[in-house]
Amino acid sequence: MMKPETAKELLERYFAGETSLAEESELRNYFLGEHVAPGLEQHRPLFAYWQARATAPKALPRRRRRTLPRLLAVAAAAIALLLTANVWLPVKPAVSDFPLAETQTKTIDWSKYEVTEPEAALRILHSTLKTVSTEINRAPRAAASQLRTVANSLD
Amino acid sequence: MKYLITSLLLLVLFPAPAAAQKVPTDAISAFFSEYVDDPTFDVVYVSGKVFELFRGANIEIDELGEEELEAILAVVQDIEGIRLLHTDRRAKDHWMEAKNRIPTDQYELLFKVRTRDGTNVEAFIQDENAAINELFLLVGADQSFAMLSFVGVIDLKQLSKLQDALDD
Repeated sequence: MMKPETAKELLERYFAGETSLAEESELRNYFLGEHVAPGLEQHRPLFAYWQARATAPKALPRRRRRTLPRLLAVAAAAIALLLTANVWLPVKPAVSDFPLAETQTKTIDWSKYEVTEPEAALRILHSTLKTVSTEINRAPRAAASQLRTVANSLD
Repeated sequence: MKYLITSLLLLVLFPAPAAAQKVPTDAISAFFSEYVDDPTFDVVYVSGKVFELFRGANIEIDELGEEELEAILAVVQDIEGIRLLHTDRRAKDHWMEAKNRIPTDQYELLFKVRTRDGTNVEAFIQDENAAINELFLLVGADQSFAMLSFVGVIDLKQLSKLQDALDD
């Protein structure tokens, strides 16, 4: 059992950083014990803390849970930026002072393929209109005939 | 996450400038212009002005009587022009490609038909102020592929009635 004077002296050396490991262990035991001199009571929490610190379970290694969502968020942001850039970058060059000339280079010269002879034009018109009108009616007629078959089978 | 939201907001708030481009009035000029110069395609254009000549010109076509001519003219009176492209090479490829090129926000599918002999027909319309201003047909068969574009005010009822007149 350490005397209060010895404890006080050891404590002073402890704070000065001059104690040996064995002396520190003695000090620890003294302050964790029940008979601490009233004048030294104030130092008790310090050693209690070190003791608690030494016996506490090691903290779990930090889990890297955020890594994947963050990566995804970064990727999504990058994709979104790319999309934005894609929308904005291919902006057409400024319209020239001659917009008329510009549009004319683009449009097709249909007159090259124009049928001007009335008889030929009428033949083409006749055959295309026949195709179109036949096709337009094909689906409804098929549906109607199917419905008639169903209706007949119900009778 | 903040960046993501900001970028998305940017995307939503600023409509693509490319969408504001003006397009020609017919589908062939707008989406198939390179086919027009392609020598493997037959290209035909009939202007609406020629139709005016039919009445006075007294044209004799065997399979076309007076009544049928009148029926045709009733349909085409508001049509500005007909464009026609046809090829017998790589018909299947052209068919697949053409279907992907029609923008569904501008063209509405009117009908699609597939017959037993493998002919596919898809018809699209473009309308403005409740009037159809273009009828566009894609016709794909085993050995042939065709595109038809009617530009002008088109009355589908008249067009469907026309079949009866032409069948007589």
